[in-house]
Amino acid sequence: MSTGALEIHIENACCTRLIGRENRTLVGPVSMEIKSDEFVSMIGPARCGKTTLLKMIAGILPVTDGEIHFAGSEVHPPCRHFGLVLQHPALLPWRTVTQNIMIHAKMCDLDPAESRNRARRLLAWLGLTQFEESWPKDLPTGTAHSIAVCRAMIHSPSLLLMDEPFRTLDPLALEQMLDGFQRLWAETGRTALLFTGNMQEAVLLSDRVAVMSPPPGRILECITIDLPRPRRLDKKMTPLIAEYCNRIRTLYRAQGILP
Amino acid sequence: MPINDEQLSARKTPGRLTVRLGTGPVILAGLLLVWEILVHTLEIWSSAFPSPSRVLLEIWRNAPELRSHASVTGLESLGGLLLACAAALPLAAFAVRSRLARNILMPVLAFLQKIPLIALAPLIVVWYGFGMVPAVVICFLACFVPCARNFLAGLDSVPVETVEILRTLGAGTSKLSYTVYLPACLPYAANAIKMSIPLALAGATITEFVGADAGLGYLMFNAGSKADSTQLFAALTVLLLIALCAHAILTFIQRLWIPWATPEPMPTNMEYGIGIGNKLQDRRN
Repeated sequence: MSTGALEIHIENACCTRLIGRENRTLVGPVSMEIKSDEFVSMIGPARCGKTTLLKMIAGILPVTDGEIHFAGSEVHPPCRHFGLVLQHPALLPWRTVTQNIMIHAKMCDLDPAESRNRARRLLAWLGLTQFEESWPKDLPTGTAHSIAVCRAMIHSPSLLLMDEPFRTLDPLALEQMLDGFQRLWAETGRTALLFTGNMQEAVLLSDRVAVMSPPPGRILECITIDLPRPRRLDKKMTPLIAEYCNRIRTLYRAQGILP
Repeated sequence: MPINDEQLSARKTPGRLTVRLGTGPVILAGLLLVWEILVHTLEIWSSAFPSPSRVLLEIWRNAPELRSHASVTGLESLGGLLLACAAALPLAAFAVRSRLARNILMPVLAFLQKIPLIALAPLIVVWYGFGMVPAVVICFLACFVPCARNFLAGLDSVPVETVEILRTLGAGTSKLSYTVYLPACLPYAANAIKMSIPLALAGATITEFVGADAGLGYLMFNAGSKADSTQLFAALTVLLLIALCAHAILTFIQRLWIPWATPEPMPTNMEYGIGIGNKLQDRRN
């Protein structure tokens, strides 16, 4: 997938914050390089600083130490090259699903008719066509996050940053969504960075999985996933995916996170 | 056999709607009928409790006078309510942006809520004299707290993630205000106005008791001093009709313009800044 050009360069990036009277490191130091068109997942235990790191990369939170470069320069918002999916789907309740997706197109001054067609295609890829005109309050559990993925991709961002987008889906819906998302990414995908706590999801989607330590999150190891695409949880692929998951588990056992 | 959507809606709508729209008037008509019968059978009550038919007759006979007094009370209430909305919205917006402003505003709201308006009305009349101004001031004070609390809850209901994502795409404060904050406030504003209507009417009436030469409160005070219960009930009925009409108009507007909102969003315990608003504020910082 990767074309080899460097997209994100993270070097000893830290985020510290004054909590009470002490300066506490929330994440880092983290060093990593992500190439163009690469799909990388960051996996880590709860509260290890995944969301903080994502917000640092997106320029929402300041990098207190070290540096993060995107396409050769520091990130300063606004940055329309990014597509963001945060932990809260953040759909506007007074807009229908399509209108919610279109708000990003409007912000990026895209052609409305063209964007509407693209929104329809994105929803179709994830199997969400029936919710096109639904209000967010009427969406089934977990679907709002998938809509948020479509919204983040409407302006064809160079970098898709996702913070546990499929966390609220039940196992069957998750499997369907991962299948749809892989097809979507194969068609439209650029560089993607997924922050998740789900090993199977990370292995299934990614070219590389960066395993993060308990807080303050650092990168323990980067595992390259050498599996053919498209990946499905079928008879042939499941044992191979499980093997990678076991490698991640071994790292967690060494950290004392898993017994 | 599975039920399709049409069957489901056919099952739900007519029955429920009829019951919802019909129950209130039927109960009210029943109560009025019982009242009418009781007044006619137990004649001793008729001086204190005029029959509904007598009250209606009084309203019919004094319609022009009642209309002019009702318009004064209505204008005072509307003026106070609009002023309260106009003052509450910028203050709530300021409190959402600044923790210090929130910490100042919340105790002030709690303090204002605890002032008994009846006790304050004579003082306001001493300050502002006779006429509409003291009534508008009392209405403003009565409506300000629910308006400010609801506006604050509305602004707080915007998830911090929405703001972060839109800011990443280049949205500034003004764009965020009309794209996100104001629409998010709408159901809360409708709720605030619904809550404030009876408070404003009560505030205006109380002030008219104390110092006014027009208005339904003035009319009721005069009728009270003459022990004319029929005129009192007539004025009360008009007051109730104003409140009911305003509520109905607002509910209609709410259904028409805010169909996406869950009905009646209520601010949680926000006294002294404890509650959902403060939690969201914590996440922002």
